[in-house]
Amino acid sequence: MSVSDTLFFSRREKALIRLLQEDLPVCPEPYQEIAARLGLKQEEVLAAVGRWVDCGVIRRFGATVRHFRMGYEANCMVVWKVDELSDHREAGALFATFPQVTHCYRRPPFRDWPYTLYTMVHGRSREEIDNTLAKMSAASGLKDYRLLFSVREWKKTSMKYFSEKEQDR
Amino acid sequence: MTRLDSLDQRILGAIQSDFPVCERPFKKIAEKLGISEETLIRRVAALKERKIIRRFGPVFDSRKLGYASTLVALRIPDPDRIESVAAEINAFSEVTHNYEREDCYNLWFTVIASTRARILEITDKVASLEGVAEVIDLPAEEVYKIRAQFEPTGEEIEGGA
Repeated sequence: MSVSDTLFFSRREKALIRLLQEDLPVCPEPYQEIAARLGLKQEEVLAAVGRWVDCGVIRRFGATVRHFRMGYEANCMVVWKVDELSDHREAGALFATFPQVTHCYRRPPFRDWPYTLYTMVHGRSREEIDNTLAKMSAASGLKDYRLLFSVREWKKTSMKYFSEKEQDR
Repeated sequence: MTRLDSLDQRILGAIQSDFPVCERPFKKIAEKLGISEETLIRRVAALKERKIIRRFGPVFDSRKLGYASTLVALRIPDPDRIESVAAEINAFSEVTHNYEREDCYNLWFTVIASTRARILEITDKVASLEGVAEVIDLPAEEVYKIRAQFEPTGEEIEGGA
């Protein structure tokens, strides 16, 4: 991503983004409530949020559902060896269609580690994940992959952008 | 296990993305679902209360906000060192996820920071921690999918327990 894609955010916009990272008020006019807290007009909040949705600054807007309620959740990082750089996009697009895959990226290779396509695969058991991987492998023709099951979650938080302490960055 | 009735399921299906940006967003969704705005608001508040909804609002794209991010893999040959290394890493507010995994690369964490230089500062400090044999910086070069949750079909949510 080039520098020209980076947008500028005013102090006021940063304050709005900070507030939007808390939960949206669950009431008839949530944007009015946010506007009131910041001393803005509702139209200003609606215009800014609408613009950010349109240009992808907001990549998803809605409820995040807790999936541990599904029970014994297994999460596995699966890394794939893809021979040609040009083949990543096709395989990535294919893997993205699997609902069990939540994240899919291309990352650089290193030393004796040839795997460059990274997927996060979820399931209720290792067996279920193995089944998903067999389907992904058959569909993509990629045979060389490595499973890295999580054995312990040491940290999981969401990032707080434009926090007060770095406000003047 | 909390059970979700069919209306809860329909609501979860309707509010996970594309939340309306207008004066009465809940009214707009309620109309689509054929229920009243008050019912929808009451149900959403209850789903939050029951912690089935863990966050409600916009999810920002770190890159478009001008932030840099990466995934870092560590090789920690002595498993007894993992806990102390993990604790040091977690102390950085820029570290959002940190997982121990079954591999010779056994600790993997993600960093989101205001600049790439700050990320390198963090990885340098991590490299100097006792027990860390190797630090691999793996910034994403292309993104094909980011979606941090499942579709809210009733089977998936009720199928657990």
